Amino acid sequence: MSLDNAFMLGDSPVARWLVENSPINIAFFQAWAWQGINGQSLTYPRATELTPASPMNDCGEVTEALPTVSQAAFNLYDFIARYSICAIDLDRVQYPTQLDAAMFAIAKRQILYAYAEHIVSPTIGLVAACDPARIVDMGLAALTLDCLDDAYSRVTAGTGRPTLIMSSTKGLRTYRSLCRAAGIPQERSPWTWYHPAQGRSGPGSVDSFNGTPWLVNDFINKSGADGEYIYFMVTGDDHGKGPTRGVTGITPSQQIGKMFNKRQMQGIFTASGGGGGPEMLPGIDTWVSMPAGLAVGSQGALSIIRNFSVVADCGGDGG
Amino acid sequence: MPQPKGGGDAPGDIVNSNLDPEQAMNDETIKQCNNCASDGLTYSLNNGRPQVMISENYMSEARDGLSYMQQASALADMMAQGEVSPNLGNEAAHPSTPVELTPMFQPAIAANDWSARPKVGAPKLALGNFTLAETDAADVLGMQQQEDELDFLLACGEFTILEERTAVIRYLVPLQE
Repeated sequence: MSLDNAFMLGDSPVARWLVENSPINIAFFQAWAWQGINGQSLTYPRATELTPASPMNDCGEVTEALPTVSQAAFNLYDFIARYSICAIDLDRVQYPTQLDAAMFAIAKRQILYAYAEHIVSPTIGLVAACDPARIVDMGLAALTLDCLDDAYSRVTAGTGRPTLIMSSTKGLRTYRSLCRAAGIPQERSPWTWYHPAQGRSGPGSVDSFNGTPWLVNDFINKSGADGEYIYFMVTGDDHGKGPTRGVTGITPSQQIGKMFNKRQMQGIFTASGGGGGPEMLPGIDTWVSMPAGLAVGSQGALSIIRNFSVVADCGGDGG
Repeated sequence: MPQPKGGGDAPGDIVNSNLDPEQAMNDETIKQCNNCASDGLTYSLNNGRPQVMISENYMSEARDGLSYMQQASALADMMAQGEVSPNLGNEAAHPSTPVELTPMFQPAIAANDWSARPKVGAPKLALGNFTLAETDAADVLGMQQQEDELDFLLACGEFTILEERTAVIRYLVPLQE
């Protein structure tokens, strides 16, 4: 007969940090390029489609064919999270994780989620910045590989091919389903993934289409409404003279390397039910912010396919 | 024992040395160093020259609160004491808080080292562009900073930090015996 309640002899430690139980897939950040800017917005001067110069074999007139110039301005927003810690908790919750450190990590995730949601906002995100002629609208019809290829080919900046495809998990599953239905191997490209077991990044592969990596942002159509979006982008801005000015995240130059600002104030909590006064317990209020936005240099760097029906889910929610 | 090259400005050059070049550093010494080193620091011998590989996470934490010169000085002082605190930044550790396990950047020569394998897929960005892997968002995104872009070197009694990415960092702090 074994010893009853032997477990009582053991320690039951709590793991460090506050573990996010329902993380949202924002893998696209791995390929999302940022640039620092000076000022509160970035404005790109843009030229309309250029008319090719004429070949000549005599001394005739050379006609001027100048583009029309316009500007596109992209503003910074401040993404802010806030948390408060009661002094009692601050005193007691120190091992194995300092409460403030855990909450700071959570706040950073909240801010990154807000940014992921911002860039796919139909009103102020990439959709609004996209040239309408580079949007393929499927009218809620089924996605096809040909239409996917059409949208892909509407990216003409850089070398004429996107460097990042971004969709929701459901959009990606729909693409995989198309490949399986067509009997073609699911295309994958080399990629570097973080392996928790190794505690470091290592080689792996990623879904791809026409050789371009395909990464998920599950804030795309997060509500699950009809119609999905897939974004094709040339990411990055080399500040060059050619059409190599792609899609970037923007942040003030002084934020480079340190995206988050943390500001703390001592405060006094209001008593439950109102009131409050010096007899209330003090605490710490913390604001964590990330000034950021998005910018699209050449509109040729962005195309979208939208309003297609997605692959069906399998079964219920298991519960 | 190889002598410090001295004087040059190229990455990898060693400016000066206050350590007796004849002072012997052997495997046993390195082993002892590693026994007492904090997570994020790995000691090794390179052609008889002692060096320390410093993880980028370690430096990021240090960078939060101190200038590079202060970091170098603090690290040098702590190494002289044989103990290094992993928390120099704005997350001051409670005395009983165990050291957080940080991904360690191994020397590229280490056997079975992931970072020594051919790099695939990691975006190489244009000048002025960066990914969150190079920022303080990396720790909550499951992204690791690109260790092969960095070369931290501690050699022969001087503390020389070489960070190619920012091109400038180069400090000299003699170790105390």
